[in-house]
Amino acid sequence: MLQFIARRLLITIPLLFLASIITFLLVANLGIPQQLENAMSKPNASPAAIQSLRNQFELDTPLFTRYTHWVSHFVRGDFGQDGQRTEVRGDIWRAIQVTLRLLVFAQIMSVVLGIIVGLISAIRQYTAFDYLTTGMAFLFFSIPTAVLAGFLKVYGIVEFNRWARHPTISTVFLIGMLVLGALCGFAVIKNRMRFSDRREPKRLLMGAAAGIGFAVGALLVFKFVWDGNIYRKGNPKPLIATIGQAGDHLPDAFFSRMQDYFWHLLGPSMTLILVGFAGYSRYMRASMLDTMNSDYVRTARSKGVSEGRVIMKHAFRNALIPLTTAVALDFGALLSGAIITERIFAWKGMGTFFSEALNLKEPKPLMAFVMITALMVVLFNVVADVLYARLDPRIRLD
Amino acid sequence: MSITRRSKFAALALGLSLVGAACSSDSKEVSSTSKDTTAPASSVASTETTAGSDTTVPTTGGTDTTVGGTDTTVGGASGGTATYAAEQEFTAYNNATADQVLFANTLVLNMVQPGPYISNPDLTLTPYTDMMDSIEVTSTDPQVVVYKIKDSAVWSDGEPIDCSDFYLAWLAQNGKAGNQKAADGTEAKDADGNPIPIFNAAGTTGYEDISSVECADNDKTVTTTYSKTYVDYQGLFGGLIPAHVVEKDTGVADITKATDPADIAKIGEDWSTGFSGFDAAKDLSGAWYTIDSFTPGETLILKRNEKYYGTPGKLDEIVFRLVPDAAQQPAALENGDVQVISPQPNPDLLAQLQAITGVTTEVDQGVTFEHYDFNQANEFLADPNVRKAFALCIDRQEIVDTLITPLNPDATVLNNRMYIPTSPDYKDNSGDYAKQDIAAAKALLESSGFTMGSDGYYEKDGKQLTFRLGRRDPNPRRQSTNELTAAACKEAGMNLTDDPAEDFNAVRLPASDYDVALFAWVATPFLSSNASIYVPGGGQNWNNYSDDKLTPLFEQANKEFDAKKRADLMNQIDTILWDDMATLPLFQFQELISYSDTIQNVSYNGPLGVTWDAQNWAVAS
Repeated sequence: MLQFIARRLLITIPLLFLASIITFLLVANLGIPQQLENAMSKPNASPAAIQSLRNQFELDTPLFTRYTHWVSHFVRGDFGQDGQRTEVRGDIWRAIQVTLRLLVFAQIMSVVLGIIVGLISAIRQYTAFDYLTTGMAFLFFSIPTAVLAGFLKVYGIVEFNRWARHPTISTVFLIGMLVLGALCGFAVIKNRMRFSDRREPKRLLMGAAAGIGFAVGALLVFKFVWDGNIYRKGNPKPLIATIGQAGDHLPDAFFSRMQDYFWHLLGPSMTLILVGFAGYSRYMRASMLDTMNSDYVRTARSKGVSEGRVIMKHAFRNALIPLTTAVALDFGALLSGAIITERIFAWKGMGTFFSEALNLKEPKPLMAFVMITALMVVLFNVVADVLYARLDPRIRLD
Repeated sequence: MSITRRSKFAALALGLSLVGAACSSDSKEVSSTSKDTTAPASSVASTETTAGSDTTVPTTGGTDTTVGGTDTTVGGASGGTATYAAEQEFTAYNNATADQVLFANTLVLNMVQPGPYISNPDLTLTPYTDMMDSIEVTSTDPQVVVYKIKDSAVWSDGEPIDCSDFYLAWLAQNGKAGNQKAADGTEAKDADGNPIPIFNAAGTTGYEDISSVECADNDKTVTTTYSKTYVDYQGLFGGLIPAHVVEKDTGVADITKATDPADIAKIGEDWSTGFSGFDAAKDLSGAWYTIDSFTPGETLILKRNEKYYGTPGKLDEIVFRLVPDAAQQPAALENGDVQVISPQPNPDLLAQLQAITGVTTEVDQGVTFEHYDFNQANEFLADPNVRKAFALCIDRQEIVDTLITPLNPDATVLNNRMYIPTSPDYKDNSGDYAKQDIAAAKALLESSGFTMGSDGYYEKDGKQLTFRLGRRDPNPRRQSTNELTAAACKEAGMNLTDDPAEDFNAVRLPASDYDVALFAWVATPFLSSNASIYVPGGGQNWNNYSDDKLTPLFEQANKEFDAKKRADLMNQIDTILWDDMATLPLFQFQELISYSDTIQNVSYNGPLGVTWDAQNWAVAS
């Protein structure tokens, strides 16, 4: 195993080298950086200043020399400076942290949701739940992220905040919530009882009552929260932010800081979760159906193993294998940033970092971005391979 | 079985954490609001009186620098916060270096760095009366300008704003320091073998004409003597940076007395590279607000400068929040994330903003103007009649109606290259070219020996009258402009084709590689810079245009201290440019500001941006 990892990591070196040459050529041919173009388009532009910028971007230096300069810095972990003399290393490190904050939360949520929904819809194939989640998955999967994020923002967040400034709960909404709670509780109990195929009306009623209780609880929580509502104190700041990854004055206390992050995280992560969950639930469903119909599951059933044990121990575990690979690979690729989501919610993560660098035609940040992304994709490929081998005893890496 | 139980726990945990989050977020926000209300209201009243002292400065040479009239009292109580959506991030406190000069910095530094003048929206200048006692041109030949700084004027660390700050600005930007020397006395080189300037200044205009800067009266009087007259002296010494900070960094005792090349080199290094990013100890304020914090990728927060010596800013705090995508700014404004935005307008964005209640949106004619330039190296365009025919066949009003009026119903065709309509000196010099006249265009072409070909286009010596209309790509507005122009001039028998190129402005324009170019210049209050565009052999005269009448006129105008006479000369130059049809101005770019009704006193300023008078912004009562 160690040998395999070492071999794979060694292969990344020539791979990255090749990637760096290709990107360097592409970046060098992007044209004149925006900063220089702006400097030139001022009346009475100073030739000395323009020359100084040309020197800074090494525009009069042969391409090969430029590349050797870049490589010699890169191998020392120095990504150079952008046109504004800001160290790229600091900028990209911050961007990675921002993207990670978004990604870890969104990815975990969408994987967990995807697995749960995929699993249930596979076990309860062709039921209302299956049709509903399949429909939703296709809906979210096919909406462009920009549209989904825009809708969430304008009709979700802005409207919610508007309501929250003068929060009232209408009777219709209240009754609706209670009915929904009752239905959910009913459905959960009914669903559970199918395992043992018992039908007890008393338990169903209890489920419905529990659902109503849950809904009432949720409403009470809302009331409790809105009674101390910030808007009644005249603070113009909205509760759920549509832009930025943190508030103006970040509190030092850990718990308050986490809340601040949370309200900023909600918009973009909802977008990513809806899109990601859609994909993973389909993946999980297909893979689960596959294992459920396999020979060893039939063998387990015929041995008299209980249905719950068959699903969890025999089918579910094996169904997770392909999903693990998909998640690991996705994670590496997603580190390059969710360009659209980040841009729409004004998060300065890797996606925004990249799109800005590209707009301004900044060579050093672009190179840094591509190298780090390439490295991440390669690393998570190794992780995926290793995980695959760990989960599937039939696969040996050596 | 176990799944459902686990998922229930998960749901419960999530619910609990949500409740917790909501609760303590409340308590935090409450405490911050209560802090906001305890603003030092008394400070306003006490300083209003000091601003009222109208000191009129005696002038010579006709300059009317009257110190005083600027402080129009504006409404709004003191206290509160406003957030501005910044499209680009603050990068440096020294906004005069070649590599770090950036409009995003200007937007912040408007409120932080002092200077002798304030640039008004109509491109006039008024002295910064909080800081200046007087500004006086005591002699015009040689030009001598004397600045008297108020004794009360101090930086936010309590050190006086004085002559050494002016001296540093001149030392750094006069272009005489040359390049860095290595230890062995030879010229130092960077990795590519290029010399490195000691002061990497963005420009030397004006400062290079000053031969000396002398300090007197406890360093509160600055006497600048010019070796060459520079009428636009009012544009100099804006955005001062504190010299005493540079002195402390470099260990040079007194910058105004520094002569040792080693000391100059140290000062140069600190000036050129020492003000990157934000450093609270170095980035002092000499104006209304001081930079309190900078979180890269998120916010920059200005707090009221407690040491400010004039009328203090009304808001306690101005937050610059990074929103790189202009399309996201309306929703942020509607949501209350930001209160002031100034994105580039487009019809969709404008419609979106106009649909939001509780928001004021204003579109103004900006200082950047679009124009066609004619490259006279082209065999056809060398003939003035062809250029004039072009100016007559184009329908500038139609272009404005189609492309600009949807943004601003008051938009007009621009008929002057020196002044914009908001300026008091603006005159319509267009004469015969004010309106489209196809018949006149045809007559001009025919008088130059062009004959109508069978394809509907004019030709001469067997060559069709055809040019490329060069422009930067992608740019939908310029594409439409070229399409409208081509369609209009087809009627006059000119074959015009769109010639888009991504590197048009950066490469082809300076190389004069075009027939007709569509691009923009920025109108500034400092008109001497226009010489490089129009005089024969000027650095930015890419049109190969040469009219010897212009050189002496520009020289005369750039020695004329009488604003009225100078404006006459500039309009005379513009009239010659119309007669020669050297370039054809089209329209100004529109600029947009939009702000929440919770904030008042927000106004537009072309050169400085919307934050130009943010000291007047106030929470609406």
